[in-house]
This record gives sequence, structure tokens and C-alpha cells, in this order.
Amino acid sequence: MDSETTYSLVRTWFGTGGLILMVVLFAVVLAYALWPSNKKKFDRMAKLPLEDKEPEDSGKKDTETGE
Amino acid sequence: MAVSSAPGATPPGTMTSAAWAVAGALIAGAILFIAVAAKAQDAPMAVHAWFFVFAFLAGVMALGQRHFNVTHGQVTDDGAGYSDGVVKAGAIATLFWGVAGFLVGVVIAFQLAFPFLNLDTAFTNFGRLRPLHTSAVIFAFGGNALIATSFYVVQRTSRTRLAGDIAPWFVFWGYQLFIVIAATGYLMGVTQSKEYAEPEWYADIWLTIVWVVYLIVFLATLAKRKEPHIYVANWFYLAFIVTIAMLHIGNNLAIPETWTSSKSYALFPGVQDALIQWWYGHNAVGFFLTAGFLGMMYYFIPKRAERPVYSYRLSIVHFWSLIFIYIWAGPHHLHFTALPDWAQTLGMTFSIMLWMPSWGGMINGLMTLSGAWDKLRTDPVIRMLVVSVAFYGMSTFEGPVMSVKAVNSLSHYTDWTIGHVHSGALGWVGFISFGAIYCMIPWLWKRERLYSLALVSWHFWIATIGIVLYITAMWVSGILQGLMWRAYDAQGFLEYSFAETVEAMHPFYVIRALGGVLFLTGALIMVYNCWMTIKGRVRESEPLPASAPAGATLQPAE
Repeated sequence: MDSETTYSLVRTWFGTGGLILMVVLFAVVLAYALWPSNKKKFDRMAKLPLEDKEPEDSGKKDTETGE
Repeated sequence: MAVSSAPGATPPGTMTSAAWAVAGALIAGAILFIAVAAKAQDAPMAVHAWFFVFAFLAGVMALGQRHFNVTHGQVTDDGAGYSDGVVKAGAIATLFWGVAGFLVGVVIAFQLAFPFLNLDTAFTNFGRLRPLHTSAVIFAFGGNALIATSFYVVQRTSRTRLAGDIAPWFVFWGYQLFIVIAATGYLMGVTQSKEYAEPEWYADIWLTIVWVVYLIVFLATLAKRKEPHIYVANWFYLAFIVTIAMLHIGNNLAIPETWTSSKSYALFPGVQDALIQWWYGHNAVGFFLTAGFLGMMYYFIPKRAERPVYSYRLSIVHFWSLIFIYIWAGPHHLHFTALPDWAQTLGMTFSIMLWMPSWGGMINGLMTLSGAWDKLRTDPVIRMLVVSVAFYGMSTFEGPVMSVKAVNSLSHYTDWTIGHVHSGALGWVGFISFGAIYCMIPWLWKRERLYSLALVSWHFWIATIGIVLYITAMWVSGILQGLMWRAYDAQGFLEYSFAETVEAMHPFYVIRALGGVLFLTGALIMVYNCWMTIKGRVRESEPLPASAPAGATLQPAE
């Protein structure tokens, strides 16, 4: 196989493969983000920066400010 | 690198066996560099080898000092709370390198307007100072801001202390050493001539070591997190750390002349080298200047506005689509070159697609202020953070437009590119970092408030006017330059000589330099404000609400 053929073969396969891979990955990400049972976790995470807590491994008492 | 997680473990600073190993490695490194200095092929290599020797020995002494502080009972950090010493150091380093980088920027802007300022020495000419400016602002200012905020954010959002005792400090000081080696190298003419990747092979190897330790510290902290889910800001920081490691190694594959020479030769030839360089270069924008600072956005905007992230779902889609698309955009730097046409088109297409995640992220950042828009009026720090996100939206709109081949044929190699870069760098990266530092300094030093919010307002307006002057001057200059380059007369000859196009740009270069002066002035105001905050001062004309004399805030009824 000459280099010209190898080149176009690799190009085609990577182009098509890349397209399929990206679409599938995007679908997986969307499914994960929109999955109903994840909603509770994400709602909690959205508020995470607002909590002021001591590190849990410190042995100190939490000074949670609450919501 | 002892992980002191359990309370009552050895206090930070104690010479554990890991600390002895680090000290041994530093001494071995110092001996190695004494050998390099002795056999150095060129003066810059000898100078840099001595830098390494002194830095490593200073590291050994610092370890000893920490140990004696602990044994003599001078413990400031009991190892129980968050590890904030290194974050404080990072915040100060950010301010220091910011001012240094902006100052060099102002100098080179004036050099372009008034060439006699090159001073006719090799050390101060534009060609050597320009990478000094870009590295100082991107890697020294931006990098320190990212390292400091990432260490701050990962602890709070994982509710666990930073992993390692020496390791985070090694990352901090190791990174400063890299900056000093890179910067002094440029002045001495040491460069591998790759944009944003100028440092030579030995500096690159050193940065690789530092960066891998950074990655390990970050991952080890995430691994012992007390939250089941990894907060989205950490995803962005992690993508930044991992991708920069990959890009840095990929683009710096080179063979040194000898192990005692500061010169190396790139592994890839010709167009492959160009492609790798711009795969690196554009992802330095995408992952260093975007993903990392988006991590900052996703923590400091909700925190400061006291509002939850507008849509956490959108943040997930934002993250994955941004990182999967950005990595392909590099070839748009090589339109109309020897790069295969399909690769150019691929780079352009992915750049256009970036509109979606970029604007999705911008909307998510801005909408986080829902219900707190009044804070834009009362809190200049919020104003800074919000305007940074607006600049992010603007420059990520402009970028894809410029990546379109037809536009690029006009804009490429002109000042338009410089203007575009600075709307992102000054507006987005600069302002989000300023905002984050303004937030962090009172929090870290346990102050009720900054020394003065009025000074933040002054900083905001002076810097904003500076940015506007800068980017509008460069738009006009760039488009003028591009049009003059492609103007033909009736006979088909070029209408303007190159020197004529340079002359035409002079007024815009002066305006740009003045914009830079304003931006630098704002940063100096910030340094003063932060310095006074750290000292625990509160500006007399803006007392804290509690300390105000009774009745002082009440206005007589009209």
C-alpha cells in the first residue's frame, strides 16, 4: 500500500470514527446531565460554594452557616 | 510528602522520612547542577545552573527552618484546618507578577511606538522583552492565580485539607523558580522560538516535575474528599492541569545539543512542528486561559453573589463540550500555510463550534446573579467578576469569527489579533483573577472586608477604560494594516510599502500604550488596597458598619 492510500484510509477512518465517537460522547454527557435521578445531587452541588464549613477531617466542629 | 490528614498526626513542618527524601533529592540536584555549571557550554547555562544550585540549597534550608520552628513550639499551622499558607503565598505572588508583567507590557508597547526605547542593547530589545511580557502575564500572573485559587477551591469544595505537607510548597516555589529561569533566559537570548513555549529544555524538564507534583497534590486532595460528587470548578481545574501537562510535554520534545548546553533542537520537522506548536498554543488559550479561569468563575461568582450556580446541568454540558471541542481548534493559526487544507478547515470548524460551549458557560456565569443583580451596584468586586464574564463572551465571539478563513486572510499577522488576545487577557483573565483575589484576601487573612471598596471601584473603572482604549486602538490599527497590505494599484502593484503601513499605525500604538498605562495603574491601586487589607487596616472614610459611630449613617429627615 503506497503512502497516498494509507493517508486517505487513515484520514477517512479517523474522520468518521471521530464523528461517531464525539456524537456518542455528547449523548452520554447530555443523558448524565439530564438524568432525573441526578437532579437532587446537582441541586445540592449548585449550592456547595455557599456553604462555609471546616474540613471534615479536622476533628473540629462544623461551623455551618446553613442556607 | 506526608499526607497529614488525621488530627493529632505529626504537625506540618516536621522532618518525616518523606521530608528527608525531599532534602536528599534537593542536595543531589544541587550537586548535579554544580557539575553542569562547571562544564557549561555557554554563559546562560552556567548562570541558570547556579540559580538551580542556590534554589535547591535554599529549599533544604527552608525544610530545616520549618522543622526547628515546630520543635521550638512556633507552630502557626496545627495541620487541622485548611492549608492556606501556600494559598496566601500564591495570592501575593499573583499580585507581584501581575504588576511586573503589566509593566513590561507597557514598556514594549512604548517601544513599538518609539523605537529608540529599545535602548540599542540586546537585553532590552523588543524581541527579548516580548516573551518576557507574555510569559510573565500568562504563566507568572495567570499561573499563580490558578495555582492559588485551585488550592483554595479544591479544599473548600471537597471539605478536606490539601494533600501533602511539603508538596504544595514545592509546587509553589518550584513554579516561581521556573518563572525566574524562563524570564532571565529570555533576557540572555535563551529561547526555542515557540510562542508561549519559549523556555529551553532544562526549564521544560523542571516545569514537568513541578507540574506532575501539582497534579498529584490536586488528585490526592480530590481522592480524600468528603463530598460524594466532585464540584464542577474542580473539573475545570483538573482539565487545566492534565491538559497543560500533555501539551507541555508534546510541544517541548527536543534534543539538547549537549546536557550542558542551553540550546536544543525540536524533534519534529517543518509543518509537523508548526501543527504541534499551535495545537499547544491554542490550547494554552483553551485550557490555561479558559478552563482554569472558568474553574475560578464557578466558585467565586456564586460565592461572592451568594447565589447558587444558575444551572448545574448546564455546567456539566459546558465542561465536556468545551474540553472536547477546544483541543481541535489549533490549526486555525495556520490558515494558508503548508498545513493540509482539510486540517485548516477542521481547525476553523471546531473554532466555530466553540461558540456554543463558550456562550453556554458565559450565560451560566451571568445568570448566577439572578436575584442578586442589585449587587452590581453595591459591590465593585461583583462588578469586576461580571464584566470579566462579559469580556469572556465578547472575545469568544470574536475568536471564532477570526478563525474563518475569509476573515483570517484580513486579520492574520495584524494588530487585530493582538487586540483580540488582550480583550481576553485583560478583560476575562485579568478581571476574573482580580475579582478572585479581592474575594480571597479578606477571607484568607480573616478580615471583615477589604481596606476600601471605593479603591476597587477606581481600579475597575481605570482598568476598564484602559482595556477599551487598548482593544479599539488595535481593531482600527489591525484592520487598517490588513487593508493596506492587500491594496493594489491599477497596474496590479502593491499600493503601500511595508514601512508605510508601520508609519500609519503609530497613533494607535500610542493609544494602546496609554491604555496599558491605565491598566497598570489599576493594578497598582489593587496592590495598595490588598496590602492595607493584609495589614488589617480599614479606610477611615469607609468604616465597617459595626464600628461606625452611632447615628453617623443616619441622614437627617428632609
